[in-house]
Amino acid sequence: MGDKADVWQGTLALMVLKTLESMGALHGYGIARRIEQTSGDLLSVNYGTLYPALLKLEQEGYIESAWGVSDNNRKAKFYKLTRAGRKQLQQETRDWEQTQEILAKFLSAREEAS
Amino acid sequence: MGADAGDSGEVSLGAGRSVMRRLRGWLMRLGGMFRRDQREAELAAELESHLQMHIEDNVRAEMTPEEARRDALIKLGGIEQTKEAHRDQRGLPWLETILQDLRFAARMLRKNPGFTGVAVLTLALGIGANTAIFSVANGILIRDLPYKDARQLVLLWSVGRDGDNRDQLSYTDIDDYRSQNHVFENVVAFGDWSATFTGNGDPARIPGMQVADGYFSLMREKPFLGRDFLPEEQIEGKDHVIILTYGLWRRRFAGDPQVVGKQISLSGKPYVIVGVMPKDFPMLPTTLVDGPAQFYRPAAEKHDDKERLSRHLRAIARLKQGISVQQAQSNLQLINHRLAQEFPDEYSTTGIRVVRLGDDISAGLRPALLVLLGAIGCLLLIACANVSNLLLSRALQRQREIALRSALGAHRARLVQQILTESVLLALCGGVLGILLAIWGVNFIALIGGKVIPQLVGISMDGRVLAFTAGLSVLTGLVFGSIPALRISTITLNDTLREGARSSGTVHETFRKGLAVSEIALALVLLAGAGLLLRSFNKLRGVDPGFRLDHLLTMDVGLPGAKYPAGTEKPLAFYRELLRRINSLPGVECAGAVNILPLGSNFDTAGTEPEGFTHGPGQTPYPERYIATPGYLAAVGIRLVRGRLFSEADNESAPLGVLISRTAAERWWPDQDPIGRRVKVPGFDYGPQPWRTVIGVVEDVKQAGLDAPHTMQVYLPHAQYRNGYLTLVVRTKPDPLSLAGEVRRQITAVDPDQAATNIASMDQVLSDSVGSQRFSTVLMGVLASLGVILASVGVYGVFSYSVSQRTREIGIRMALGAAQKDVLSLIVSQGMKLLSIGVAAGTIAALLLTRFMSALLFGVSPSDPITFACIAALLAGVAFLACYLPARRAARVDPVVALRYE
Repeated sequence: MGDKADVWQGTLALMVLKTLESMGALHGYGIARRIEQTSGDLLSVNYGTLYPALLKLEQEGYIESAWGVSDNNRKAKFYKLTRAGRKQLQQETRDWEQTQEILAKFLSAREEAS
Repeated sequence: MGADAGDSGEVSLGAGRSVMRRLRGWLMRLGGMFRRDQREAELAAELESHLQMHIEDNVRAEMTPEEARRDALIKLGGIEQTKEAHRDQRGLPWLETILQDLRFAARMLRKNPGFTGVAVLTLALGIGANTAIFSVANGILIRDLPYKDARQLVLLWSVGRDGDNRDQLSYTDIDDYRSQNHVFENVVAFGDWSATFTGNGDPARIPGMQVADGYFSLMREKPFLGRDFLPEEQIEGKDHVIILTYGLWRRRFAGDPQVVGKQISLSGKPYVIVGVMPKDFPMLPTTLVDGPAQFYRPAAEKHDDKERLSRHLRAIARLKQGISVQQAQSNLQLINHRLAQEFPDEYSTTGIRVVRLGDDISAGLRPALLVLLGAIGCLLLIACANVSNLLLSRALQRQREIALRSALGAHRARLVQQILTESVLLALCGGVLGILLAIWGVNFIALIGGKVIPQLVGISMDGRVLAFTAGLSVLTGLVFGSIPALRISTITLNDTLREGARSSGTVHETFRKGLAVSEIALALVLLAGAGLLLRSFNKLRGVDPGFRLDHLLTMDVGLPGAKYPAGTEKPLAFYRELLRRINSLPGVECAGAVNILPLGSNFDTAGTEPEGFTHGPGQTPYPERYIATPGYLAAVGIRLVRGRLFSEADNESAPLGVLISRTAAERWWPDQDPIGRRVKVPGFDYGPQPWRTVIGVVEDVKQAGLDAPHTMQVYLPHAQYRNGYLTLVVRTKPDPLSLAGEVRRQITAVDPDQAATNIASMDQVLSDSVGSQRFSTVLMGVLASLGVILASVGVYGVFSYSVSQRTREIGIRMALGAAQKDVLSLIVSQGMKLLSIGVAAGTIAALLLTRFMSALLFGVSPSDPITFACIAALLAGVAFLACYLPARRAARVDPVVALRYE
C-alpha cells in the first residue's frame, strides 16, 4: 500500500470517476461541489487538489476533457468518463466491496471473540 | 482500449491493464513538457473560470462580493500551489531539472569561452590520443584475424639451435611433421610463387602463393566462384591451375563472372582459372618479397623437393580442439629430435618452432605498442590534471555566487548537481571532439604507418574503444567535477564575504601546486621516451651500410623458368644483353645485377664449407649468398679489400671463383691470406658441391638492416650460377628514378614479354628499411610534443592563478619600496624551486621506465645522459617561462591598483 498521499489520491480519483458516471460531463468546480455534497459534507476538500488529480486521470486515459459552456453561459473545461474509465470504475468498485466484505468478517469475528 | 478476454485471470489482466495505463500516463507526461506556455494559460483559464463560478454561487448564497471572492480563494487553496502541483503532474520534474541544469551549464560555458575552449581542447587531446592509440593497439594485438577459428591457426618455422635465425622448411620436413604429429588437424605447406601474367592487360609480374593440398579447408573457406584445387592437381604436370583472390579478379579480370575455366598465360605457360576467393578472405599476411600475393596455385611437389635441405616453404597448421601451442611445440620438438638422430647433417642446426598466427603477425610490434600505450597514459594524466585544475580554479572564482545561492535556499544537492552537470557537459564535449580527433588520428596513423606495418592498413576505430572513451570522458567529468563541487558546497556565505575573493585555504593551493609538479614530471617522462627514440634513430641513420646509397636505381627482373631455365645459357644471355644496353644509356655510369638487394626485405643464406676451417657439429657457417654480375660491386660501391673483383672473364669456362666478405675472411682464415683458399658454396642444385677459389675479399654490407650485426657474405659470379631472378642496380648521374622509364624500355627491347617490378631508388630502399623505427619515433615525438604543450598550458595556468591571488601582496611589497626586479625574481625563484622538484621527480621516473624501451633503441642506452640533460634543460626553460610571464604581468601593475585588488 502506498503512503497516505497515494491512498488519498486513489480515493479522490475513485470519487471523481463515480461522480462523472452519475452526472455525465461536468466541470472541475462542479465535480468538487458534488463530491462535497455526496460525502455529506464530511469531507472538506481543498478544491485545488482536484486539478492535479483530474490531470492524472486524463493522462491515464480514464477521462477526457473539452472546453464548453456552463449553465450560466460561462466558458469552462468539462470532463467526461471514457470507456476505460467506466471499466476502471467497475473494477475499483468491485475491489472496494471485496475489501469491505473481508474486513467485515474480520471485525465481526473479533467482536465475537472478545 | 485493450481487448478484454473475459474475467478469468482478473488480477493479471487488471495488473496488465494498469501497467498499460501507467505507461500511457508517463508518455503523456513526457509530451506535457512541450508547449508549456499554452498549457499554463489553459490551466490559468480553467482556474479563473472555477473561481468565477464559485464566486457566483457564493453571491447567490448572499455573500458580499468581497466575502464571496475570499471564500472562493480559500476553498481553492493556494493558487500558486495548485499551479505548481499541476505543473509537477503535467511534466517530468526530474527530467526538467536536468534539462534546466544543462541549459544553465551550457550558458555558463559559453560565457567563458577561454576556459571552455582550453578545457575541451585539453580533454579532447587526451581522450583523442588515447582512443587512437588504443584502437591501433587493439587492432594489432587483440583483433581477431579474419579467418574462421583463427585462434587455432599456427605457423611452423625452423630455427637455429640457439633459438635464433628463423628459417623456412623443406617439403620433406613438413611431410614428416604432418604424418608424425598428434596435435594438429592438418599441416599445409605454402610458399611464394610469382609469375608474369600476359593477356588481360600489360605483362605484369604478380606475386602469388603456392599452397599444398588442403589449404583452403584448413582455413575453412571456399571459393565463391568455381572450386578448390583437386588433390591430383598437386602433381607436377597437372598443376597448371590457379585460384584468384577477389582483388585480382576485380582488378585484372573486371569481376567477370564467367572467368572460371578461362585460360591465361603465366610466365609463358598456359594456366586455367578454376576459382575465385570471396572478398573477405584476405591473403595470409606473411612477409613476402613482392608484396601481398594475389593468386593461389598448387604447391606441386617437384623432384628436388625430396631434398631435406631445400628449405623454401613455410607451413600453417590448425591445432586440434583443446590442444595448446605449448603442447604442439613439445610434440614437434620430439619429432625434430627423432629426425635429427636419423638425419644428423640436415638437422644438426635446425630446430622447430610453433607460433600462433596472431602472435607471429604482431610479435615485432609488441614492444613498440606497449611503449606507446605507456606514453598515452602519461598524456591522459596530464590532460586530466589540467582539466581538474581548470575546474577547481573556476569553482573557486564562483564561490561567492554559490554561497549566495546557498544562503537563498538552494539545497546542497541541487548545487552539487548543477556543478557536476557543468563538468559532465564539458567532459562530453571533450569526448565528442576527442572521438573526432581519434578517427582522424587512426586514419592518419594507418596512412603513414601502413607502408611499414601492413597490419595497420584497414584499422579503424573500434566500438569497444568508443565505449571506453565515452565512459572515460564522463568519468573524468564526474571525478574532477566532484572535487570542487563537494568542497565548494560546504562554504558558507559568511566565510566568502569576509575573505574577499581570495581562495579559501592553502589546501587548494597545495593541490594546484602538486598538479603542476606532476605535470612537469609526466611531461619529462614523455620527452625522455621521444628523445631516446630520436637519438636512436639518428644513430641508426648514421650507420655505414657498407655500400653507397646515392644515385642508385634498382628494379627486379624475374625470368620465367620455362623460357629461361636456370643453369642454362639463356638467363645469362638475357642479363648480359640487358646490362650491355643499359650501360650504353646516357646518364648511366655503370650497372650490374644481383639476386638479393642489401637492406631489402629478402635474404638468401647457404651452408658453406671453407677449406681447413674446423667447426663444431651444428656450426656450419651460413653466410649470405649473393649471385652478382661483374658490374654489380662497382655499381653499388662495395669496397675491395684484397685481391680482385669479378670480370667478364669469370665466365662459365673459367675456374670457379668466389668473393668473400671481410668478416668471413677473418673468421675462416684468421691472420692468413684468404686469396687462393677454397670453399664449397652450394649452387642452385643440391648435388655434390665443387670447390671454389677465393679471388678477393670485399667490405661487409648490412643485409638485414642498419641495426644488424656484421655477417659473413659470399659472392658468386652470375655466369657460373645462372639463375633467372636478379635485381638490377644502376648507378646514374642524374636522379635515379628519372631513368626508370628508359631502363624498362631496354627490358622490353630484349624480351617484350618481360617486366620489371619494385622500381625504387636505393635511398627509398634504405628509407623503407628503417620505416618502422621512423614510425615509432614520429609517433612518440607527436605524443611528447602534445604532452609538453599541455603541461606548459597547465603550469602556466596554475602560476597565473596563483600570482593573481598574490596581487595584493605584490602591491604591498612594491608600495613598501621593493623594485619591480626584486618582486619578479622572488616570484620566479619560488616557482622554479617548485618546478625543479617536478623535473627531478620526472627524471627519476623516466630512468626507471625507459628501461622497458631498450628493445627499441639502437646504440643508445635507456639512461643516456645527453638525452636526459637536454630534456631537463628544455623543461626547465618551459617552466621558467611559465613562471616568468605571469610574474612579469603582475609586477607591472600599478601598486595602487594592486592594493585595491580583490
